[in-house]
Amino acid sequence: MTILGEKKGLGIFIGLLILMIVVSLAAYSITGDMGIEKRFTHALGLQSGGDEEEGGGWFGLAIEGSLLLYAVVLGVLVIACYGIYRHFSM
Amino acid sequence: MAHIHLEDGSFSLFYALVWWTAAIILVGIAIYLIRSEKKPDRRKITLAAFCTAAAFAIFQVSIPIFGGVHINLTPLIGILAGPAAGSLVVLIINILSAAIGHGGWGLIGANALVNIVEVFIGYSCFRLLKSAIPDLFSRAGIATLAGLFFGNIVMILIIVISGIQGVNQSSGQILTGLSLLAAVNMGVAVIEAFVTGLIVAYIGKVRPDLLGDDRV
Repeated sequence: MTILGEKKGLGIFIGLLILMIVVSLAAYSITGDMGIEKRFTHALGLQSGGDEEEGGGWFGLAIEGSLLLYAVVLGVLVIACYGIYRHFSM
Repeated sequence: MAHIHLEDGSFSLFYALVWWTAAIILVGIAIYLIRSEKKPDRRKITLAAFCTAAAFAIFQVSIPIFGGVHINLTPLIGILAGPAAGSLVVLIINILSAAIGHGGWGLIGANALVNIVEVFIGYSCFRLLKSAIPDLFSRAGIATLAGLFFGNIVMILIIVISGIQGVNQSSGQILTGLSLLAAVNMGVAVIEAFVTGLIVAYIGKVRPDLLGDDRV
């Protein structure tokens, strides 16, 4: 590897890093300090309510926040993974 | 990093199914490619398993900058495991993440698509720039930035196409909001690019065979 080739790659990389930092700091100063989930709700104009927010879920069935549904879905996944493992095991 | 941090019900059931179907088709193609190899590459399978564990763990770690963010390591997955195994890895990570409440179940398909793009672009850039940029650190860093940039674009496209239930903003307002979000994400991509560059440069020193060109 030539020193010139090494420096070229590093130069491009550092240039891109500086560009990204400047752009992200500008965007950060516009949007303000908030966590990633709040940033999403803010960007989309969603009301930043809690889990009991109306309109969540499908057909009135909200999976998020429901321990029973999490357990059911996780159980189905475990069974499916076991089935796939048994089917493809050599 | 690009990850749709919305709860179930944000997308309509139709679009949740559309993105799930698209992700399943891509993962199906990946499985077909892996299974069509004449001789299974056990080294690649081991690497993919390590990538799954490492990326799942780092997915859950909130970095206290820009209000709290996380990195994905998806381009690193592409570089090490290849796009086919990498597609499976990101699907598993998204399923496991949803299982602990990080992202909705209905959004796994959409999130897997975003991450598959990051894996594929990361892998492709790393391979294509091989002759132009021989230095592993900067090549992996550039590939990571490219992968995460396109991941953010796909994330925006998916949200704009799907629309969000219960939101009265125009597409233009949503696009502006998401563009700002993606711009902040690219600040996090700087950290991820640096981390990926260091990891790949280290692997290149101690185990250069793991960065071979024979990845499917």
